Order: sequence, then C-alpha cells, then structure tokens
Amino acid sequence: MAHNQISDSTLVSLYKNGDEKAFETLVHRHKAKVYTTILLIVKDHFIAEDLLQDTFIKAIKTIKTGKYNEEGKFLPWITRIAHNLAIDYFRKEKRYPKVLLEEGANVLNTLNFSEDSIEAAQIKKETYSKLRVLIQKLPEKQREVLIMRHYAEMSFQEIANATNVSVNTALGRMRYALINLRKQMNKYKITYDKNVYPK
Amino acid sequence: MYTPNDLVRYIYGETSQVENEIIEILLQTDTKFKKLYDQMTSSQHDLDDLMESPSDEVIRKIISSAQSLDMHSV
Repeated sequence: MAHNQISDSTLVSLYKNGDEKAFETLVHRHKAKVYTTILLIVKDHFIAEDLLQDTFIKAIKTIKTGKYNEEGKFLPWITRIAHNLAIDYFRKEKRYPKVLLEEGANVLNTLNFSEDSIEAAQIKKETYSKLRVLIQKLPEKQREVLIMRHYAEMSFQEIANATNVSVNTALGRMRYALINLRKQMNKYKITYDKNVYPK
Repeated sequence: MYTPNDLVRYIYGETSQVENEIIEILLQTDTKFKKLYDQMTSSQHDLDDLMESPSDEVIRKIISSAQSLDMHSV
C-alpha cells in the first residue's frame, strides 16, 4: 500500500521501526496545518519556519524514544506541540509580535494565484493578511478553540477536556470566533472597497 | 429545540444523521438560523483559504533531521 493511503498511527509505527519515508509522508500530510497554526500566533514567516522545525524535531525525538502514545491522534498532538512552542517563544521574548501587514513572498508562492490577475492576487493577499490580523485580535480563548478545531482537527469534546471547560463553552467560543471574524471581515471589505474603488 | 451551538457542531460534522436532517429542514425554514449558518460557514471557508505551506527548504531540513536522528542521538 502507498504511504499516502496509510493512517497516521500506522505511519508513526512504521517510522519508529525504521521506515524514514513514513515520517516524510506525515510531514507532507500535515505541514500546512501545523505551519498555519504557528503563523497565526507569531505572524512572521521566518520565526514560524524555525518553530515548525523545532516542532517536528520534538516529535521525532518523542517517537524515537518510544514516548509517543496518542494513537491515531498525530495531528492534534503535533499541533499542540506547535502551539505551545509558539506561546513559549513569546514568553521568552516577553512581548507580543508587532502586526506586520507586509508579508513575505512566501504568501504569493503558496496561495494558488496562478490563474488570477496581478490585481486579484494583490486583493487576496491583502484580505488574507487582514484575516490573520483579525484572528490575532480575537480573545485568546476564542483563538485557541478556533486553532484546535479548525487546524488541529480536535473534536469539541477533546477541546473541552484539554481546556477544562464544558463542551457547550467550547462550542460557544468557536461560534463567537466565527461570527466575530465574519463581522470584522465585512467591515474591512466595505472600507477596502471604498478606498480602492471610490465612487 | 436546536441552538446556535448545535449549528457549530453541524458545520464541523459532529452531528448525527437524525440531527442533520432536522437542522437541514431548519435551514430551509428559519431565516435567522440560515443567516447564522451563512456567517459561520463563510468564516470557515476563509480559514481554509488561509492555509499556507512552509518553504520546501524547511521541509528538506525537517526530513533530513528525521533521517539523521537515530536512537543513539536522542
């Protein structure tokens, strides 16, 4: 069977038993979600890539020393490592990052703009940039649930257990996060359109 | 009685088949419920669109680390 059809837990077992390609498959399968999780916290591509490396190296060491025991739950597990490393980074820095609206070229390389005009690509780039800023501005509890559910793919029950709240509280936080983002994005789009396309 | 929180569970695929059928009827008949659904799914799609990949270079480094770290070095 091809590696890309194998479950995460089987790939972890294969890697533990010396199959290097198994870990490569895990990296390619989850790199975007883990990286996006970090990027939403640190807002800097260079720092995010460093922390992504640290995250996977920590995962490698945990698996190779036989300490990994979250069968079938690789993505939530590694996303939590990523999230904690990103938070620790700020504890060490003792400051929250400045909001950088100027993104690296990486954004244009990774988003699929191939069929768009330059102007459409620019609008998309600015919209996503704004969205990342809005996610950063969400209350911490809402942002945490949003990342855990949307990118780490944890169930609301798992989130409730991990954050010591009821399932209803976790659901409520997710609901407010989604609605807040929509309202703020609508405001932004109205302002943006007025500025770009004045009557 | 279905609540906005049930709608969040529905959007994220955590409702049963029976709940899905009831919620889908509500979405066709209750405009407030439908408006809330549209708001939340719109944000959900934005979050999907926001997904980014790291550079190939950093992935190469990670894979190289996975190959070089053996049991003796950890």
